[in-house]
Amino acid sequence: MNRISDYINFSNISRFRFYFQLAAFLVLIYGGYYFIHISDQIPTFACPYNQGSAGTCFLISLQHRLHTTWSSLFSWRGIALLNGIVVFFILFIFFNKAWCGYICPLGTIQDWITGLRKKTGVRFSKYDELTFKHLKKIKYILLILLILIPLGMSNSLFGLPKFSHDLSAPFCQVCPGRTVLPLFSGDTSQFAVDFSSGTTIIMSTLGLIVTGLFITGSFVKKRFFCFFCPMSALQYIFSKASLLRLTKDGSKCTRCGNCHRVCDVGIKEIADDIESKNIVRDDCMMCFKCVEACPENDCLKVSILTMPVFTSTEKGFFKRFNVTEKSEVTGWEK
Amino acid sequence: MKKYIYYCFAIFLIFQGASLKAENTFWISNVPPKDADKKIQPFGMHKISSVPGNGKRGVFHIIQWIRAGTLPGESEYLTGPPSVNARVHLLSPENKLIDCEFEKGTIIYNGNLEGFYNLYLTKKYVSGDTLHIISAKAERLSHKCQNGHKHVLANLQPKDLKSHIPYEVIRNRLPREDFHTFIQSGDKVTFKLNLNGTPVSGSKVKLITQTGWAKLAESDKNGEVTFQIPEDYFSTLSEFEKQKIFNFLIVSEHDITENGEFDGSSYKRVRYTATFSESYIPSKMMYSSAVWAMIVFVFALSLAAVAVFYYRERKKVPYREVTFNE
Repeated sequence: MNRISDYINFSNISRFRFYFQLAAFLVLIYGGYYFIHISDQIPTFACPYNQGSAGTCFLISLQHRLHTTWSSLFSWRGIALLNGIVVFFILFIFFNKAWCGYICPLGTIQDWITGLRKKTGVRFSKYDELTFKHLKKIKYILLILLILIPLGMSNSLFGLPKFSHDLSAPFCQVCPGRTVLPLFSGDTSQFAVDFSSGTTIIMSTLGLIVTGLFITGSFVKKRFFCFFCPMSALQYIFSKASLLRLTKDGSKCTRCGNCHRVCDVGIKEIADDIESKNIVRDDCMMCFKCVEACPENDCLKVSILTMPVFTSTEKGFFKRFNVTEKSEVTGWEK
Repeated sequence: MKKYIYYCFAIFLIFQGASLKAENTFWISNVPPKDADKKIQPFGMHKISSVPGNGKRGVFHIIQWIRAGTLPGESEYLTGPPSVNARVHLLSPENKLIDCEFEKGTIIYNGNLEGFYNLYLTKKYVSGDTLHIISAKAERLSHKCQNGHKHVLANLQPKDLKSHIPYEVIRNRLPREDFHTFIQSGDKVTFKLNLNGTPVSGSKVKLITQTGWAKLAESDKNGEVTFQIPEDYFSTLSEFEKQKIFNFLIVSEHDITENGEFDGSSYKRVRYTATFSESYIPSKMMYSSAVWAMIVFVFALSLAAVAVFYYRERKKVPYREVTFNE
């Protein structure tokens, strides 16, 4: 048992993640062609606009079900909505936010773009602390709009006239997943400005602008879009109940800051917070790079139902980062 | 020379069309006439030709019109009382015959069930030595998303009424057809021809679009014929009318030799004429522009790239040598 845990703890989780992401990408993008259908409430961007999708992103299902009158929402239709949330929760509970870090195809594309940037030698950007604090609110605003707009199509909200039905699934219309993911199936139909109505012109143009920003943003900032993703905000609501956890033992933390430096999203609390046990934040995508980069034994821990599966170790750190007993670069000895 | 080729082609088309005669052809339309009651919905995938019921949960009615002629765009809306021999059958999504009101060229029925309603109008008469059996058929999809989808998916399957309609056109469903599928220009639609429930091969079938474009084909050994709905409506850029709904019409005839008597008149052969009408919308492709998409995308991408570049340039601190004054 110890040998297995040592093998995992000393292993290169980033390499494992790369292949896991690739496999998940292939399943979610092309699985539909092989009759794979996971669910209609998948807690990640399994985009139904992509014909080969092996399921449907929960956000489109949520928006579709909220497009109803108040009276229907508080009748059996509400039960259908609750049912969707329950299925979403059941799927989410096993992987927690690792759905973002390991499975999300849009996240995988961002990681590939980051890989391309590394190869070209362009340096990456990071938000300063204040910008980080302000920008992280955007995903919650998008989540609220994603709920309110479909409701406003069937009901009058705050005395406003009902919204146009062309706004149906409003987030999907601006989501870069809708334009980018079908391209992998050779479908370019979503990459278009829809001139059907004024609303569709605005929404489809906005969608393309977001796609442009997504590509450029992902090139200069790691996981650029995840910071604005309403799925991430929605997941965080249920995150504490999940079986997969990322915990920290503050007493073992030396505040070296390695975890913050390797974090693709740039969460500072992971280094600063030595009080909290649960270290998962709303922007965290559970890639576990922080655990990989932590040189302290048992300081950061990934566990399923309190059973540790991947733990930070000094030996693992030195092995992964190729630091030998005597560094050839610095001349320091250990 | 080119002109003469066009003339010859036009004459050929006219003769092709002439083989299926327009006399006494009637069909069922779900596009309201211009002077229809304003309560009747003229647009919408699941709203067209319906009259909302009282209250949000009230029974809503579907209203359809009998039209005469073979050109969908120009066919006359019949307003008179129904002919003596005309009979109406309405098959519910649950495959049961249900009642409807039939008066003044319109048929009205309760449309609260989920799925396709099959509406039939048949007429029999003897002319010369031929018994004419004309049947018009239309399918009308009734759906409210709030009623769910999966449990009523079976109600989308095509149905026939061979017990009452001897010669019938059945539309096969499109691949991946669901409650939100609308036939568009460019779609390939397959129709099946059944005589007393058995597929008929070699029958002449004609598809006529709203603007009068027509194509004649013959059913294959499985009794099936496939047409690609042509693009016959071209909007201008300023005309945002995705919801424009047209009718196409399928007309098919089949003759058999049979002696008999109907209404005191004897006949030596029977001519079955079946019409089937369905709605279609202009192709969504017509309203989408990949060129504009590329312009917007490249503009956004470049603007963001330039913005990042200049932001980084601005943030660059020039190198300054620090010297200590000893």
